[in-house]
Amino acid sequence: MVEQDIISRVYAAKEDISEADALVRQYLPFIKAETAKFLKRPPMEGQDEELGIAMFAFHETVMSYQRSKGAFLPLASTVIRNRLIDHYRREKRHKGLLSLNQKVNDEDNSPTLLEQMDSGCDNIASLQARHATREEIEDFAKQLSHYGLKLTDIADNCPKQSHTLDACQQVLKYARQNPVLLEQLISTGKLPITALAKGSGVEPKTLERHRKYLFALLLAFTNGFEIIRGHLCRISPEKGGN
Amino acid sequence: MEYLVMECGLSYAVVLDQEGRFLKVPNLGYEVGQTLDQVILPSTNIYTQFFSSQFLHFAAAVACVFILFTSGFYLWQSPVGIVRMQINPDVQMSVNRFHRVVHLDSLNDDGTLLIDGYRSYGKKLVLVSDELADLAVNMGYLKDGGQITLTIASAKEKWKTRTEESLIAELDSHFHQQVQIVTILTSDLEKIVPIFSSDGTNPAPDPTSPTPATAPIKESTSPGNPSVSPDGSETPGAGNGNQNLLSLYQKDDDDDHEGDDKDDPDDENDRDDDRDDNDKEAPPSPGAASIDHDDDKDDNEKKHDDNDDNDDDDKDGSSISSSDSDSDLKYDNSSEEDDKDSNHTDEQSSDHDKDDNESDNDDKNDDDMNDDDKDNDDKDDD
Repeated sequence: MVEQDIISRVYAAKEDISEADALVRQYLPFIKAETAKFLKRPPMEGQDEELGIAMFAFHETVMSYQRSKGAFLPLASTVIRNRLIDHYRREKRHKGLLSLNQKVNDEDNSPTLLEQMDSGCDNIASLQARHATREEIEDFAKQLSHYGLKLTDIADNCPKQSHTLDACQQVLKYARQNPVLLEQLISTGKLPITALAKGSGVEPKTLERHRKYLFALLLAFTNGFEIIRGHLCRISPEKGGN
Repeated sequence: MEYLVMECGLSYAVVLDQEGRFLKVPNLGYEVGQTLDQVILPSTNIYTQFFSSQFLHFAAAVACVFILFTSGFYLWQSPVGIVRMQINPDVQMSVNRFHRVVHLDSLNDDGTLLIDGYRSYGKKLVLVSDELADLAVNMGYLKDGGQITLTIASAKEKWKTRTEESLIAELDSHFHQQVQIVTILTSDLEKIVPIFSSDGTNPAPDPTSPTPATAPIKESTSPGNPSVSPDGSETPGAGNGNQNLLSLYQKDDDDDHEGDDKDDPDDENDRDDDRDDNDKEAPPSPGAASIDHDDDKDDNEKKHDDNDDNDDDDKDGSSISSSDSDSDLKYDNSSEEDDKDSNHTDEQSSDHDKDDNESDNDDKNDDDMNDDDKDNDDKDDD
């Protein structure tokens, strides 16, 4: 593919996350080759974490690429290598441990360690809980899409600094103390920035910057998302909804 | 920290942590609704990471090397003291803290001839002084029985003392004590440092002020040791030596601003006068050294009587004399009473010491050095 075509596809993928996934799928051989250079062997799909990390590195490159800073593929290669080096350094302390995917013996049909181990948990119950969680998350994502939001957008809009996260949690706390604001959020589909800023003491500019994230967070604390609220146990001592 | 998988793509997964963060992480085979104990948290922006991990580290390393190099060069290049060497050629060596000469300058025409083509930068001070003395011998400025006057200027007392000791020891061993070495110590660092200042300000004091050269020396006069020169010839004594140093600063400053020289003929005249003074003060023969101090002798006849008691102590006829701007005699032990005497008194006492030496030497028939001293005194009396 001509470089110009790649760049145009990359810029299209920035706007559409599914296009980004398609680009990753198309360049999977390139990603595998870069991973193989690092591993000194072909990566095994579904087993090697390195391949997943390399794919995510490619995805990151797509989302962050700037035409003025050079060609795309060399940058993607560099980013993949850097991310794999980071992963190697992070996981170096676990060197010498056995993989759960390792076979019990050298025979081809031998079961893996993971298959023979007793996980110690009730798989059926956990599967049922996961199914319920998935339904709730899909419902949550559906409601978000109703307001024109995607989970990836929210992840991109999430505060990275801890003090900004604290400010957002302060806004959430004020909103939970005033259910009227949550109802107003659902009914109007808009974040009541003025009232939240005035009540929580947080700068309106901060709320505006993280408007999408705050909307999703406040939406999670409306009725119907008990599992998600239960997961957010570290936000405040009060568990559950309002 | 647990993470709830909210969305899965081919290469990414959106997870929600327990503090309410939505994070995009690598999808390592996750499914929506799955709870994870650990995820690979995303790193910084790819460009940011590139610059922080490689370029910035390299830049920091380069900056460290640059700082080390410049600070080391500054330490090397900064003089901590100046050693002025007067034979008849009059030269000045700026010495750094590593006892290396970083700047050599001539103060008269003979000095210019002496250091012409001579490379001193980075050499040890003792080596440069030896080589300059050898050059002076080769060029006929210095002969056996001659005299070298060393003016050591620094704000650091310890440095002055150590430099003085090392230079005297080196030159004595080099010439086998055939040459008189007179040392003068001074503390006019304020006048030393501006020589190397880039702004070109004139470090010399106001020439209209009364006796600008002698003032700092009197201020630093130490009552600890009387300055008694065995030969009585205190060639450019404390005051005169400092005057010459000041003229040096004036000269150096003029050199930096050659255009100013042309505009200001007074400076030119001053410099010529200084050079004349240097020629007088640093004669090629030791006998001419004390000419300038005849008047001092007359003025201080009474004072010298007080020091007659010490005359016997000064008969040693040593070829080394040391007079500080603080009137310190480094190789003489004297009473505290004498410590309070002025430079003139010390000079006078030195002259009388010399007279005593003259009479004593008739009996003792001392070495040639003392004979030379006697001759010098005869000339002085004339």
